[in-house]
Amino acid sequence: MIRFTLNGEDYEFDGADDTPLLWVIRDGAGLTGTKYGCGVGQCRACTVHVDGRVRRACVTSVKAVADRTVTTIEGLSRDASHPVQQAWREVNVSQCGYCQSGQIMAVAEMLERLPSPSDEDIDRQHRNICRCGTYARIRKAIHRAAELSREEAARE
Amino acid sequence: MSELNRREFVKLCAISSMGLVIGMPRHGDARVTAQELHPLIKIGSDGQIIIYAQNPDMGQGVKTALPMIIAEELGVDWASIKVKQAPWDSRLTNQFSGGSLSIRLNYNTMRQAGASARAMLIAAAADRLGSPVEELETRQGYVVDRPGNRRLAYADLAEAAGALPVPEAPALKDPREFKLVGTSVADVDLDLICDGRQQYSLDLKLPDMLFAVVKRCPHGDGQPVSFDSSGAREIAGVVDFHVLKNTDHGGRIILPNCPNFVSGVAVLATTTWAAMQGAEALKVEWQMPAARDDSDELMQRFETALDSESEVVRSDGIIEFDDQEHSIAATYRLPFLAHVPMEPMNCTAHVKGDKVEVWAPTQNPPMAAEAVAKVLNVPQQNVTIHVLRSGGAFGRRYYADFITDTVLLSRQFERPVKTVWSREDDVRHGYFRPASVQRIRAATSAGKISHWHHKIASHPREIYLERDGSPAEIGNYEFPAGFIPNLLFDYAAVPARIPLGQWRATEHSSNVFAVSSAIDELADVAGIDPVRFWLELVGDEQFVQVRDDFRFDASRLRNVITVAAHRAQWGTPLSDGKGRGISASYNQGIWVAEVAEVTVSKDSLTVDRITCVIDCGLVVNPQGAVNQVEGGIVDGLAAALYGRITVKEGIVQESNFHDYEFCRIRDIPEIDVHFIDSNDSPRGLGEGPLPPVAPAITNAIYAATGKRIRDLPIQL
Repeated sequence: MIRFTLNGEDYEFDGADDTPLLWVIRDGAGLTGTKYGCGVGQCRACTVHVDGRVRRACVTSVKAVADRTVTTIEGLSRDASHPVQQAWREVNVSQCGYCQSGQIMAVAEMLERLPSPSDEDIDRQHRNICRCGTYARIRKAIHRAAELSREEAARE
Repeated sequence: MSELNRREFVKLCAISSMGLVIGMPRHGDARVTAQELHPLIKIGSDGQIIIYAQNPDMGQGVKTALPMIIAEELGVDWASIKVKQAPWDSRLTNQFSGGSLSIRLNYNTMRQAGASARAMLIAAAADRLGSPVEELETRQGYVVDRPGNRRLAYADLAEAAGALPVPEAPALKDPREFKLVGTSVADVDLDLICDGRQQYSLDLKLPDMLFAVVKRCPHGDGQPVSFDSSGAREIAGVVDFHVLKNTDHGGRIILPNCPNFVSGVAVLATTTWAAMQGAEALKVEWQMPAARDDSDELMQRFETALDSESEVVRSDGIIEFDDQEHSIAATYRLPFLAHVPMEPMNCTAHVKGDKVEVWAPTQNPPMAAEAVAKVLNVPQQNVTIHVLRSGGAFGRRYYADFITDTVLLSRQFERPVKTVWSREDDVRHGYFRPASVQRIRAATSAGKISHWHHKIASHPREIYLERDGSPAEIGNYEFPAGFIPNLLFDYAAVPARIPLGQWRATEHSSNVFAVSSAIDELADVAGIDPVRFWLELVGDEQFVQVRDDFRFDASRLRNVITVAAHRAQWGTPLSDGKGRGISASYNQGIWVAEVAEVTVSKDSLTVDRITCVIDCGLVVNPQGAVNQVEGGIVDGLAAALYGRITVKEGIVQESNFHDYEFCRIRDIPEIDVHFIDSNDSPRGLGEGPLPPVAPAITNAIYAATGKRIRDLPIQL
């Protein structure tokens, strides 16, 4: 039995401990916002946070998150109000939308580390694939999210 | 980081599981009845107006744009309506997404749908109020009797309106009066996408459902002979196995309405991961076909075929190359390309007796229904196709291979079955963009192109679109036909068994590379600025009669070239190592010109900027349109920089994003998209912006370095 915290709730998984976290989240917990895109850690559609850091759920075994805290897109914010989600809506980022929860999770964590990323920072650090090619909007939304986060911080 | 409290979490789960059981009425819905005024328009007794998106949405935005057109004519407030995706409906026409045709083919029918429903509501109101129809107008979901200062809600009129005959030719709005069409509207699924609740086909879970992963023959024409399941059976969750042979269903015919799956052995399990592991552990003995192609060898055969007999597609004037002013002869090589949509192929089906229910990310619901009816031998009216938002498609989901094997499995196990493809399955078992070798010989006279011979050798697709039975991957209408007095298009078909299919701007994605490169090469040897040379070629006439039934609006091509050159500051000086290149085309119904600006330093290429100017007629949803164009440009960039499928012994060598790469954010240039103002009827944008990208870049590389790139993907 492997126990971890999933979006603030205790979660127990009773199965092979090398099962990828992705399938535990999707088939086990029924949280389908975390996407399968490649299974080999290339596309990052499966990006989640483990103890606040980005992890690719398709290449992270469930045993690696034992007693840790996992956050998926469904748990990123209470009401989709995270600055990154706000920015994504403002900028109308998505086309098909399939990769966007992974994009949003990756950017949310990047902004924790780098509150005001430059374009060069984004080029170096943001590695998620968007097969529809919404990259110009992703870049714009990252800058906007950084701005919204700063405004939020200033208010607090 | 905010976290959900328990109540919220439970609520969220409840929402997602509710969404999972598609087709079940939501609590309370039983009391609400809906009046249909058109297959795409329903008004509930609760007042909710529902507009259905006729064509599948795979990210191109038609789930938003098509209902916008209906809402415009219906006279309703966009914020008040609900948009849903229509399931396959045999009453509808053109219910497919492909060829950039969703908007182009359905603009008028969507207008008529909205206008006829509106006319029926007005007629019902006239009856109710005793007012003449002429005195009634509509405003935001109400019929208003201005002189009598009375109004009636659409919801209160729906039942009476539904009983009235559907008018054949309802009055349409003057497009200049449009309030919604032409304004930027957010994608209808944007909120769901941003909080992870948008449901894709892969997210679907039905009660008692089995997950299937098919271990497919590495060669698409091979067959399983026997299998050893001893290892796979030991994996917890693995339930059963089933052999799927396309030879039991007519073999692998690559048409969108045929059961054309690759043969293999399905592993059925209680979870996706168990099915994946089961397929990994399963040992299958394959019978491989005798014909086993090799893509490198095939390219050699194409090259040889350029000097052999060919089919003449178009011949104007006299083609002789001897003592012209300036001439070129250049050979261009284009690889096979895969689709790799972000959501891997998958399908869920439930066969109950002779009734079939399918949930699929399909681009082509009518053809999927035909294929399912064929493979199960059931009447088509027994087939329900629920169309789910696709996580990308790009032509791959035009076919029914991923649906037909799933319905066979559900029939076999008498349970709902979801088939999931791995990314490796997707890359290895695609229907690829044809590879080709293309040669253009061309010459000038008095600074203008006088002779043009474009010959293509390729392995033709097995479906023939608008080709009058000819397999040629070049049309007799293609640019620059009609613009050059002495012109020859010919095509050499080289048979092979590599599966081919629709891709984004299938043949234009290749042919425009050769055409735009050759024009640039000829401009260079003639010593004329490329933009000036393009404009000379396009000429001053408004129209050029290319074919009896096709008049090319040259003025629109001239205009996009001129505007693109201006926006890209063509002709202004650039520093060392930088260059600009131009490319233009008319394809998939739109006029496009693109200018690329690149920096080449040593062996590294940076695409700094792409300027794209488009004339596509009326733009229905500008924000969505820009998104589509940017996407097409990125796809064109990926084809220029990375895309290549290699086949050895009939087996695709690439398998995933590490060896079939796609652009990431660091590759993306600044993109400037500009639409020419137009009230002409709208065209589609899914494909047209892609073909000019690669030649604009390679022409820019030439301008920067003097090095001519004729093979894709680019290698400096």
